[in-house]
Amino acid sequence: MRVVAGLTLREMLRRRTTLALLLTALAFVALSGWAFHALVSSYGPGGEAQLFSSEQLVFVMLVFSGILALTASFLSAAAVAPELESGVALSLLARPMTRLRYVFGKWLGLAVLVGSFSLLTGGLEFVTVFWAVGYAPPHPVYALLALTAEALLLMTLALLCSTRLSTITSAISSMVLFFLAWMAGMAGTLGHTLHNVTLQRIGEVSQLLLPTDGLWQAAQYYLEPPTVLALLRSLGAQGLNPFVSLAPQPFAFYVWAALWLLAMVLLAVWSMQRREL
Amino acid sequence: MAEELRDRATEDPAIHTEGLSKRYGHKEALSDLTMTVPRGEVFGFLGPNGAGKTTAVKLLLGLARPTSGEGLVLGEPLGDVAARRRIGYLPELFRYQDWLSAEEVLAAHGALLHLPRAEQRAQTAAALETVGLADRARDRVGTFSKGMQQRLGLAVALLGAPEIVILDEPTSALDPVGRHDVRMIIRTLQARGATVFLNSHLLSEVEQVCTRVAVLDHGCVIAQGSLQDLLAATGARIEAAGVTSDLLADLCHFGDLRLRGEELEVEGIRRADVPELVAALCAAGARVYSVEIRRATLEERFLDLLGGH
Repeated sequence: MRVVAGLTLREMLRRRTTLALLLTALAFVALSGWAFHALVSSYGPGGEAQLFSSEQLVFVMLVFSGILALTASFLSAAAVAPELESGVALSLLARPMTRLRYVFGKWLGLAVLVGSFSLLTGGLEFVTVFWAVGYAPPHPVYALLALTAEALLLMTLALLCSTRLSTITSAISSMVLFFLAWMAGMAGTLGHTLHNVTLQRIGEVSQLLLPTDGLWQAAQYYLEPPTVLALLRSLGAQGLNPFVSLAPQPFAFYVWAALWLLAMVLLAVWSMQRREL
Repeated sequence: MAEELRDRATEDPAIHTEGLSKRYGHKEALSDLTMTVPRGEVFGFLGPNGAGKTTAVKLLLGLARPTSGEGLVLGEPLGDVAARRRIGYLPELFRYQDWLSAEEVLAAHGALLHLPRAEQRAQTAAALETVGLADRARDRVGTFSKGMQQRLGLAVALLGAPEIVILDEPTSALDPVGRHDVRMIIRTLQARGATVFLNSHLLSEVEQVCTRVAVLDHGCVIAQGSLQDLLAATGARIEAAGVTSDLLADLCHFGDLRLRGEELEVEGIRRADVPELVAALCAAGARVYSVEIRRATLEERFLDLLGGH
């Protein structure tokens, strides 16, 4: 498992994937830092700037969530399928190594890379925003953990797909599912605000099937200042905003997300064990 | 089940299979493969393209699951993870991580074999030397030609001093020098007591190094045994004086006899019957000066076998 994880990480380094991710992170942080700085120039350092900063940060992190999803999907889809298609896996899997260890090794290597990218870029973004406008979200660590968990879930889904499908099909399939879950999640949020049970059910079921949007909503909640949340709650239907989560996710949801991830890893192992080379 | 198979397999062979079959959808890739490869032999697994040779190799290594049948490799059931430590394998579709150097590929395989670091380094250097890649040890595999990648694959198969080395078309990308080197490596492996399972459709290659062979066609074994038996004598040319037409008629049960001057051509005689024929000639008063047994080449025998199916 250690050997496969090491090879996965080394491949990312040698193929300059890590360098590309680093440059992406720096570009993302620099651009958003510049935008936040421009915001202070327009509003001055008062409470209004803080309010706009908080909402702009939620939007920036939404974009980052999309970047993370793309990164996790494509890196993971390219980890197993090309080895199976090219024949590299033939000589590796003929060694005294179970397929369980092969899948776990791949997962571990990818998780280290995706997790580091998420935590470092997100952390750097928060630091930059604080430096530019003096604003910090109420729960930055929880928000980052939720975003990282979202990326790990999607990464695991793409890994499962890549044990059976080609690289591009695996990456696209997991991205499509990610966006579908996001749309269904938004429908659920609207359902709660408008007291529409059908829309609420769509959101709940989608969170069970693919908990990525539920985790994004958790991150969103931890990013919003309590004053904004209180204001929107008091407005009711008039404060309709699908980009805001008014309540934290229940603990049971996190347990479900963890079980979902474990189930996907085990499915990937089972799929590889059944796979004929 | 493996215990029963062990009991049936005589003298702890390197490979023993019984009724091994593999079906992909409606296509029967391998049918009822029953064979025994004794330890220390260089075993040639012959067959035309698409005969099922690579499928059989994948079943032996546990890379694919048989539809029916069973087998043992080094006394363990097919696909046994621990037994793989004692098996070296060069796949037909050899590809190694092109972003690694040759020695890094070998180091990764050494780590998967749980070789201690010092042993890993020593075996890596020795394997690269054996396959003629010592001076390219630190070059990226992506810069290697196809032939060099096949040499690298051979080095990977030699790591860990395996008891059995399975080579699937090991010379498909090699030039004549490379093919000669592979023959030398196979002989060295045989000299240290390893079993070599050589999967090939290059008959001359098999003829030069193998002691036993099995011939596969359309997923079925159509012949197997020692190379000597497979290439049994098919004729003899005897230089003899005093052979009369009456004597020829008396000896016709040995085969198709034709006399041209003092040269007697015998077609279809078994090798074991030649001394008896010579004795009969001498007993009848003929004077025998020389006897030359004619053998079929592997190619002739192979085409003959395939023609019959």
